[in-house]
Amino acid sequence: MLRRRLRQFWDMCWTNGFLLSAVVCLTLLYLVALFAGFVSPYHYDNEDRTRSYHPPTRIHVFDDGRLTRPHVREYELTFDEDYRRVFVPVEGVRHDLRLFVRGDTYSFLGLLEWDLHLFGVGEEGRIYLLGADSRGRDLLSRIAYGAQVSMTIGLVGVAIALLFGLLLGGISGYYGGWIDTVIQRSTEIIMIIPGFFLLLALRAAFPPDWDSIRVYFFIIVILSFIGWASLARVIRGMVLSLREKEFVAAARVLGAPDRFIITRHLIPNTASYFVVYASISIPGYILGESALSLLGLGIQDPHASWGNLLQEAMSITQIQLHPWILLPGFFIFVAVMSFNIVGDALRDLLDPQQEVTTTI
Amino acid sequence: MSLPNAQPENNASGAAAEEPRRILEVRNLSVEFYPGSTRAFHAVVDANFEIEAGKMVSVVGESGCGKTLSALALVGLTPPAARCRGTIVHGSRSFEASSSALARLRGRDVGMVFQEPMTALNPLFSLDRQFREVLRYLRGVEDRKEARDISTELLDRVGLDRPERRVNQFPHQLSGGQRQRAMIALALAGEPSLLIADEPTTALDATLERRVMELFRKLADEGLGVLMISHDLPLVADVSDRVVVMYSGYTVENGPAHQLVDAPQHPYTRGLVASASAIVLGDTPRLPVIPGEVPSPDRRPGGCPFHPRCPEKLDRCESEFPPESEPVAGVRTACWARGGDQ
Amino acid sequence: MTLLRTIDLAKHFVLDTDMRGRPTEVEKAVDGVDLTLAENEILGLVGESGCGKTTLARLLLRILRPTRGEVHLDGRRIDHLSERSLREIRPKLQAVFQDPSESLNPRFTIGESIGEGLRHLTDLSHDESRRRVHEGMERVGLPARIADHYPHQLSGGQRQRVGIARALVLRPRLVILDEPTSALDVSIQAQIINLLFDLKDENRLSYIFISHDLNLVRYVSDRIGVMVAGRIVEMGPTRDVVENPEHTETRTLLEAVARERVAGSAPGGPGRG
Ligand SMILES: Nc1ncnc2c1ncn2[C@@H]1O[C@H](COP(=O)(O)OP(=O)(O)O)[C@@H](O)[C@H]1O
Ligand SMILES: Nc1ncnc2c1ncn2[C@@H]1O[C@H](COP(=O)(O)OP(=O)(O)O)[C@@H](O)[C@H]1O
Ligand code: SF4
Ligand SMILES: [Mg+2]
Ligand SMILES: [Mg+2]
Repeated sequence: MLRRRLRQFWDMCWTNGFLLSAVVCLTLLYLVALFAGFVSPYHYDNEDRTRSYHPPTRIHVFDDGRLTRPHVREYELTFDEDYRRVFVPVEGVRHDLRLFVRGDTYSFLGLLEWDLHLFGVGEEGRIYLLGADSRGRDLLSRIAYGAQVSMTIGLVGVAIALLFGLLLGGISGYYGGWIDTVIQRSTEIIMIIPGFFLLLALRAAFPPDWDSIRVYFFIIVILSFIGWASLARVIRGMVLSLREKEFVAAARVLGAPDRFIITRHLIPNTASYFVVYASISIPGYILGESALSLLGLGIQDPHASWGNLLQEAMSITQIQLHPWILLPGFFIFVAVMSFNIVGDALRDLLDPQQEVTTTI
Repeated sequence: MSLPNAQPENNASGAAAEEPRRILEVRNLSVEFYPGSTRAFHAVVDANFEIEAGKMVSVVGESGCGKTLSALALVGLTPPAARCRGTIVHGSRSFEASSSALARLRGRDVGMVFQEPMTALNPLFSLDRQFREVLRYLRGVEDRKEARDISTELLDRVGLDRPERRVNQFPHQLSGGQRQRAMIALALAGEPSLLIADEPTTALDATLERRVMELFRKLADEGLGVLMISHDLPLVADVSDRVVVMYSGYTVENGPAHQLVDAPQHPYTRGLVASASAIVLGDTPRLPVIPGEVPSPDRRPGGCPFHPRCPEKLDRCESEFPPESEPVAGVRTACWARGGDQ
Repeated sequence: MTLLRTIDLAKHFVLDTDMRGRPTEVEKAVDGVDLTLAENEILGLVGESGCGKTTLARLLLRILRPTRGEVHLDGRRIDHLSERSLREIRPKLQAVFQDPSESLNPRFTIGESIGEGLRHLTDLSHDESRRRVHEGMERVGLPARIADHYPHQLSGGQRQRVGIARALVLRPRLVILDEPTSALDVSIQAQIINLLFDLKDENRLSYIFISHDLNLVRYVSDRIGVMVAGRIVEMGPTRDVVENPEHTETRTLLEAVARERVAGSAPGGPGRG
C-alpha cells in the first residue's frame, strides 16, 4: 500500500515540474538545516562590527582578465559624497575560496564537535555570499542556522498536533454522546479565538526573557495547542462515517476492544486525510514562529530563526539601503510554497475518489 | 448534426425498409492496456456484436471479463492507459475505436446508466433542476415549463409513480429503485437511440431488480436499442433478445437469449447456467460450480483461456485458441469441443 | 436442542427528539421478533431491503443493544451482558458480512484480518495463532502465500473466503451470515454456498442465513422466516413457507423469483411452488 503510494508520488513528481521543484527545495532546505554548521562558513554569532551591512560579495574567477582560482575581493568601508556608508573593493587584495576549510567549531547533531566547513576564505578575509546584518554577521550562515528552527518547528508541531488531534478526534467520533460534546466544545473555543491573538496571549502569560531553547519548545506547544482543534474536528467526521463500515462491526464481533478499534481500525484509515493535513498545515507553523520571532517574542538574538532575522527588515529605510536583509523572507516563501505544492499533490494522490477510479 | 471528426461512411444501411434498423455494430474491438510496454495486455480481444432498434443485447460474464471496458469503448470512455482498436458503427456513422469523436455521442446518441445511481445524480439539486440542465445542454430546451413537462413525461415513462410530484424531490428522498429509475429517465433525456446499462441493478433487491429489468425490456419494445451488462445470466436472459458471453476479454458465445439458457454451447456458459438453475430448482445437495476464478487479463493462460477451469478440456485446448464456429444456427461459440475443428 | 432464542426482540432508532430530549421520530427497525434456532440448523431470513434484517443480525451479535426483548444463547441470556462478559460468548457467535470489500480493513493484511479474533479472544501463542490462521485459510481454499497480501489485491470471492475464515478460526457454533453472497458474481456465489455447507457439516455449525433473494434462501435453509417492516410475519419449514405462503409479502417475493428462466424449466413452470 505505502510502497504503491510512494511510487505513484514519484511518478507524479516526474510529470509535474512544480512538484518536483518543491520536493527538491524541501530536501535541500532540510539538508541545510541538518548540516547547518557544515554548510555555513561561520558560526551564527560570529560578528565583525566593522563590516556592518557588508553587501553580498561576488565570487570572481577572472583576475586581470586571466582565469584563476575562484576568489573574493577584500572590501573597505568608505563614505560617498552624501556621507552614506559604502563598501568598495580594495584593489589587489583577494582571498581564495577554498573547500573544506577549518573554521568556527560547531556541534554536529549535538553529538560531536567539528570545525570543518564546506567552503570559506580562511582567517584573513571574510566571505558574505548573501551579505551581512547590522553586526557584520554572515546572513547565509544565519539563514542556515535559522532553517534548523524554522524547518523543524513545523514538523515537530504538526507531529504533536496530529497526536492529540487524531486521538481526541477518534475518541470523539467513536464514542459520541457527552464525550463528543465536551471535546467538540473545546475545539470550538480554541477555533473561535483568532489564532494570532491566542498565540500572543499565551506567549504573554510567560516570562519574556526565557532562553531560546525553552522558547522554541514553548512555541511548538502553543502552535500545536491551536492546531489540533481543526484536525480533531475533521478526524471526528471521518470516524463518524468509518465506524458505520462493516469492518468495524466485524472487529467488534471478533472481540476487539475500543482502544484497538480506534487506534488500529479507525485512525489509520484517516491517513489519506491527515498526511495531507500535515503537509498543508506546516506552513502555518513556520509562519506562526516567524510572526512571534519578528515581534521579538520568539527566538531571541543571537540565536537565529527566519522570523527573527526579518526583525532587521522592519524599517523601510534599512530595506532600501540593504535589500539583502529581506532574504530570510524569501526562504520562508520558498518553504511555505513548497509545502503547499506537496500538500496539494498529496491531496490529489490520496483523494478517495481517485482511489475508486484506479481500482475499478 | 455534423461531426467534423467522424468519417461518415455510407453504410449499406439505406437498404430495404423492412429490415430492422441497425443502431450499433462493433467490429473487432480490442482494448489494450499500456500498449508497447512490457506490461502490455489485452483486456478485450476482438469483440464483435451488433444491436438493432427495438432489441436488447446483454453482455454477461464474471467480473474482470472486460464487459465494462467494452461498453466504455463505445463512447470513448476507456481509461487513458488503454488503447482501443477496431471499428464502431453508430447508426450510419462509422468510427475508429480510438477516435475522440466518439465522446460526442454521449447523451444525444447514447444514454448511459451505471450501477450506482448516486454517481449520476447530484444530491444537492432536485430532479427538476437536474433534468433542466441536461435538457438545455442536450436539446437546447430553454423554457422552464417545457423542461418540466418533458421531465415529468420521462419520469412517467420509466414508471415512477406521481411523476409531477417526484420531479420536485431530491435524490435522497427516493428509494434505491426509484433513484435507479430517475437515472434511467435522465439517460433518456437526450433522446438517444442506444441505451447502455452497466450492472444497473446490482445494488437492488431481487424484487426490484426484476422490475427494473422489465423496464429496460419495455424501453426496447418502444424502439430503443439496449446494451445490458450483467454478471447474472438468468436475470438478463429473461428480458434480452441476444446474449454475448465474455470470458477473460474473449467473446466465447453469442446467441439468442433463450437458446443460451436452454441449450448453452460453451462450457463456460453451461457452468453459469448450471449453478444458477440449481439454486432455483433446489434439487441438488450441492451446487454445480465452475472451479477457480477468472484470471486477470495480464495473467491469462495460453490456448483457450478457459482451459484451467473447463470440465470438457481437450489436449489441444492448452496450446491452441479455438476458432469460432456455429454448432447451432444463430449461435456462435469459440470452443474446440463444439466443432471448433470443423 | 435450542441454540438461540429471542423473545420480543426490538430495536428502535431515535431519529429526532424535541427540546427536552424526548423522541419525536422513531424508526422501528426491529419490532418484536421471536425466533428459535436449533443446533445444526440453517434458518433463512428473507425480506426486502430496509425491512430490518441487518439490524436484527446486529442485535443478535450484540453490536447493537436491544431497545427491549431478550436473546438467549445456549440457555444463557446475553442481551444485557457487559462487553467484558461478552468476550466469553463471542467465539461461539460469529458472523460473515455482506460486502467483503467493506468488511475487511483495507490496511490489514489477510493474515492479520483472519487472526484478529484469535488475538482478542484467545490466549494462543503467536505461533499457535499463525498455525490456526493457515489452517483456516487452507480450509476455505485460500493459498497460504496471500496471508501477507492486502484485501485490494484479492478478488471478491477470495475476500469473502477471508471473511469466512476469520469467523471459522474461532471455532464458533453459530454463524450469522448477512447477505454473504449478495456482492458476488453468480458463479462465485455457488462456490461460497458449497463451502458454507461443507463447513457446517464438518464443524456442526448452525447458520442464520440472511438474504433478499428467496431462491437462495429457499435453497439453503431448513426453515425460513419472512421479515416485513421489522417483524417476522411468517416462519416455518422451507417447504411449507414456499408451497403455502400465508402472507402477501411472501407471495410477492415468490413472484419476483418465479419468472426466472432457467435451463430445464419453462418460465413460471414447476419447481417454484
Ligand atoms: N484502469 C485500468 N488499468 C488497468 N487495467 C484495467 C483498468 N480497468 C480495467 N482493467 C483490466 O481490465 C479487466 C476488465 O475490466 P472490466 O471491463 O471492468 O471488467 P468487468 O466489467 O467485466 O468486470 C480487469 O480485469 C482489469 O484487469
Ligand atoms: N443506525 C441507524 N439509525 C437510524 N436508522 C437506522 C439505523 N440502522 C438502520 N436503520 C434503519 O432501520 C431500517 C432497517 O435497516 P436494516 O436493518 O439495514 O435493513 P436490511 O438489512 O433488511 O436492509 C431501515 O429503514 C434503516 O434506515
Ligand atoms: S476450447 Fe477446450 S478448454 Fe476451451 S472451453 Fe472449449 S473445451 Fe474447454
Ligand atoms: Mg464492470
Ligand atoms: Mg442489510
